[in-house]
Amino acid sequence: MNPHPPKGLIVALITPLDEEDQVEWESLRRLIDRVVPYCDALMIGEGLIGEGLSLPNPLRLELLQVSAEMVAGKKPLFLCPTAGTTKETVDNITVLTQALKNYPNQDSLFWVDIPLWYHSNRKLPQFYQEWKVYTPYPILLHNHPLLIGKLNRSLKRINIRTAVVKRLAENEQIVGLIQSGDLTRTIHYQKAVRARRDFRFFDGDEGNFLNSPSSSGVVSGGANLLPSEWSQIVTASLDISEDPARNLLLLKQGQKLRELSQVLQKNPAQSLKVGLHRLGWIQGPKILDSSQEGSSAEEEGLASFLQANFSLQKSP
Amino acid sequence: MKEILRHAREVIQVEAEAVQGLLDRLDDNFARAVQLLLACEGRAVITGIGKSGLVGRKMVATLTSTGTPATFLHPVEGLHGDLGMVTAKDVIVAISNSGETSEIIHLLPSLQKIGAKIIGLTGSLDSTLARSSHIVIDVGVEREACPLGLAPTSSTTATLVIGDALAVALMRQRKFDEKDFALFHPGGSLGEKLSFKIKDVMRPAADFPSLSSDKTVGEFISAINRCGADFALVLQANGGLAGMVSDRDLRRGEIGSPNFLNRSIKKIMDPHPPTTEEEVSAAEAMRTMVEKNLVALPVLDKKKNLKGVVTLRDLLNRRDRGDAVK
Repeated sequence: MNPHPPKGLIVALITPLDEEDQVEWESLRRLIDRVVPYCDALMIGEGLIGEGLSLPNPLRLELLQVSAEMVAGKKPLFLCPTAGTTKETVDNITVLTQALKNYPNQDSLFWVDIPLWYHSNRKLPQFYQEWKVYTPYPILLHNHPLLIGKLNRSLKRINIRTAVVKRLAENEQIVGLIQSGDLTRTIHYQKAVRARRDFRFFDGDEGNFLNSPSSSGVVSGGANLLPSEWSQIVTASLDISEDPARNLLLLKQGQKLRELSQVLQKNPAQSLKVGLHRLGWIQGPKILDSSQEGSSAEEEGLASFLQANFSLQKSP
Repeated sequence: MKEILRHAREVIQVEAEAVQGLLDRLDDNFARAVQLLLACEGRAVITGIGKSGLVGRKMVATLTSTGTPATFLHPVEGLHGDLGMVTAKDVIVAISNSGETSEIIHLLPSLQKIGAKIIGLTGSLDSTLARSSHIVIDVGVEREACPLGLAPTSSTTATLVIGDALAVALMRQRKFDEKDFALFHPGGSLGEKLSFKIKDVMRPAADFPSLSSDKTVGEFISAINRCGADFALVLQANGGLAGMVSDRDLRRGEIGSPNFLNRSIKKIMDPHPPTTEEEVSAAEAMRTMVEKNLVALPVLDKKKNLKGVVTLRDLLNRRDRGDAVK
């Protein structure tokens, strides 16, 4: 039987980079140590926030492996092996499975794959059937229409089809889905996998979680900046009590997280890095994909947010 | 305007999905819960706090009006004395979505000590409540409709629906019909007028014919004819209740046989008649009488001493007087 992924706050960690586009390992360690007490799992190499899809493949493999060593079983790890092609993705999971065979807590390792990045809906269930040959770790699928829409390819679909999700859920190695799209589609997916009571649905969109929280949890980038606040909101959403004093606090926290979510919406990696850099957690706000660099309006929004919530001046 | 409607649609969509999801979660545990409640000799005692408490109260109203005796136990009041109302014959239905609500969890050891069976309604199957329950009904939902975990929404809707499903399943199993509904519905013509207690309507035992158990069937017939009653109390020498005998019991006594009138009433009396207590509601006493086809119930105190008798006729008269006052 496959281990279940944890419920709760999954922090999609940014990848701190230096000016030569290499991972800043010390900053990474600091970030991991900072969020581990608050999160229920860590996601490394996420496509957009963690820049997983922009990193050169060898660097990404190194990132995943070194991050695992740093976490050392303290929290479950969601590793993102998605590459540009089917072969490269399969190679990644094969190499990493081999590298992680002595990992201290084998039940705490999960793959998070964005299948439509390199594969169409067609024959997707058959493709994942083959994964068990290469790796024993459970898989979470990430439906990420925003990211797929950015691909320079003419695509028929930017979402995993509901009928395909239904068939994918027949594969027990697939234990959940992260949904970054709209709520209606999420509900259709839920209907499709009802037969699998252990199947987890994480919100990949922070706004969706803040509006109507999934009982599995959320994948959050904002938690890089505000791990404690996100942890409180997720805990409250998964275990609802009705203490008015607590609810007042939640309303304030929720408002703050909504504002942050808005600030991060367009270019999450860039905005998070600017914020973390200004707070002194990473050395610089370097990102790989220059198309993700924020506009002056976004910078202004972030500066205002930091000023209001961290007592930072607008200029660094 | 569009945004308001969009939000409303989202909530309805999320909650509808939560209810749909129950269909797949429904399993043998639900059927076992219904069987347990059917076999219950006491009452269904529903407990929960906050919005689960409100759902619990609605569940009590639905169960009561569809023929299942039920009452609400506030978990905090329970810890401060109300647990005294729970007996081993009762079935507890404890509601907590997380299964870790502290007020409910603190109540569980006492309930277990009393010996009442527990049905847990929870969304978390590995919770303390689930582990402490004899039967667990999964009311888990995939998503709440209210932001930030401020208030349970889909989860309370799902629990409410399961409560209705329990009440209706019980009603069908009991073959509860239109006539019964009119009798017990809290807002119905009878139900609302039977909100008084037995102590308000009972009469002293001396008002009714009584005899000792060594008397004959003939003496019983004389006694009830004298008083124009249709039953008599059978009393011990110390005035305690030894049984009850009614004119309907005569049919079991082979009327017409040569020695019929000389037979001992022990042969036809009910030595363990259903009884009631002063604090019991008139509606509950009437339910017992209708279900067991009785015309009267002896009223006993906690020490099982005979305090009086309540009759179906007295209940109906009192109800009609209430009607007249209105």
